[in-house]
Amino acid sequence: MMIVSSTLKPSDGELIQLAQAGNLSAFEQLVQRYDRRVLTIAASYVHSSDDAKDIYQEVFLRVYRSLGKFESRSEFSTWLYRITTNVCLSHRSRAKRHQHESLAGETDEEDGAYHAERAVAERTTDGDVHRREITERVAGALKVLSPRQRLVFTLRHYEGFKLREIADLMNVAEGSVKKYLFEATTRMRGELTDLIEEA
Amino acid sequence: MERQKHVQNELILLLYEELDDTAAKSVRRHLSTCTGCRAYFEELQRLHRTTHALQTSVVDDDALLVLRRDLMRQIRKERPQESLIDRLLTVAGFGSGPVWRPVAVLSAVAAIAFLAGFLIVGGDAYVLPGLHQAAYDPYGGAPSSGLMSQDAQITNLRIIAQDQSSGDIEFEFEAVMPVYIKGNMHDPDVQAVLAKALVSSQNPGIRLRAANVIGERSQQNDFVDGTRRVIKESLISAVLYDENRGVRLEAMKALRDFLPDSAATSAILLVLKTETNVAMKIAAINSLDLAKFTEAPSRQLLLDALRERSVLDENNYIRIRATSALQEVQQ
Repeated sequence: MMIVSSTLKPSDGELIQLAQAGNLSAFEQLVQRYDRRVLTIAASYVHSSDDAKDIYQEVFLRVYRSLGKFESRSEFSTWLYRITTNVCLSHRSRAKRHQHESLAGETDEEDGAYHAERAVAERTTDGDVHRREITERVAGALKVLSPRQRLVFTLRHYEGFKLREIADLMNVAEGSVKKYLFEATTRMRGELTDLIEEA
Repeated sequence: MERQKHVQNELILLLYEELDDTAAKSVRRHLSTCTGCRAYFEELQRLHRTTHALQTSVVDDDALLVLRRDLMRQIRKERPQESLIDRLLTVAGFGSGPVWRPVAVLSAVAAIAFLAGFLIVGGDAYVLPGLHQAAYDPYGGAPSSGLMSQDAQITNLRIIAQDQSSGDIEFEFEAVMPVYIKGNMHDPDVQAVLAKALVSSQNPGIRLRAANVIGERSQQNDFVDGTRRVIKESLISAVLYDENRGVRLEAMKALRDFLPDSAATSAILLVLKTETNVAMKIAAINSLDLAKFTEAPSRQLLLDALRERSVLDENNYIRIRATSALQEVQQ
């Protein structure tokens, strides 16, 4: 009788084998092992808790649906983060979808809601107005970047992936990743000049 | 201009520690002599610090648990309707596959029948030895097909291949037939099957019965050490993820006997904090027997959760119930 128990700390490979055979508990353990980082990447990339949650769901549903095709030639984590980057790049934000559907241009309202959520998520106190302003400015600057520039910047700057790893996740040459990082950094510098001078 | 851009890019790579030792030394040497590049690098460092103000890596644990719960519910919904035989094969460690394996299937059939009989009818009538034995014909007659009892019910018959000329045929089906199994609730295998049924059966009635039986045994502290953890994890999974509220309630009742275990406490507190259904929240409050929480950290967590509900909960009854639970402690 094969029962997955956390006391045994099964490897990713063992959990994948069980999950591929239909064991939901094993899949759940894989989710628990990696979902915090997936959510963090998504939250860094989209800066909206609703969108980050959508990405989280989409990533793990894709993983679950494709689990049968996964071969243990590569690390599960690499495969998972590759899916995460793909989902991030193809993600259309709720705000944009809403805007497209209603054609009413309610993004300001959405942005307001998003900033409010961020404020709560970051546990920002009322007195920390300056910090909140900086946060909003940085979030605004990130929005100016192209999706690929933003993803590379997010993964390198916030998540600490090496450029080589990012190239692997995005399935592009390392040189392209460097180019995105250079462009992103230059644009961020341009957007935040006044803040940088204050710092 | 190109040269300047190249140096600036090198400085970005230096900032992110993406240069090898030789290149890094070379760039640092250049920095010590070039005031323009030094100023640019200092600007990059300030940008680095400023943009880290947006660090979003603080993921709220409760939000993450709710996301996990929603995800697993979604997955359960879209899970392919695989046959119980396949599931039991998986549980029994046979793996799964399209090839029909009579011995494995018969073992699975035995387990299915055991489960269905035990969980729906009750365990007392089953008095045959061995959980892992192959199918057993309780009526003593010779199996009509050589594979199974005359009383087997066959469903989902699927012809995989058929050769009209030779008469060869390959097919698969699901079969359930009456089987007697002798088990004992002290047997870790029996307990593990119950735990598995609780989290993997597609039939909510079976899950409910499994939770109920586990609850009865947990009151008597009947689980062996190795299985106790598996049972507890199954109960937590059911409390947090099961789509059937009855199963969740029953699992929570059973989980109460595992308190003040920290994982069990966290699961119940999470229900108390995030559940929208009032009955579930009441059950959560009722499950938290404060007398069991003598250790400071878990007791404080519990009190904080009750205080929060006593003030913030949208439901009057929950607020009153949480307040009275707090008062009981303070007396």
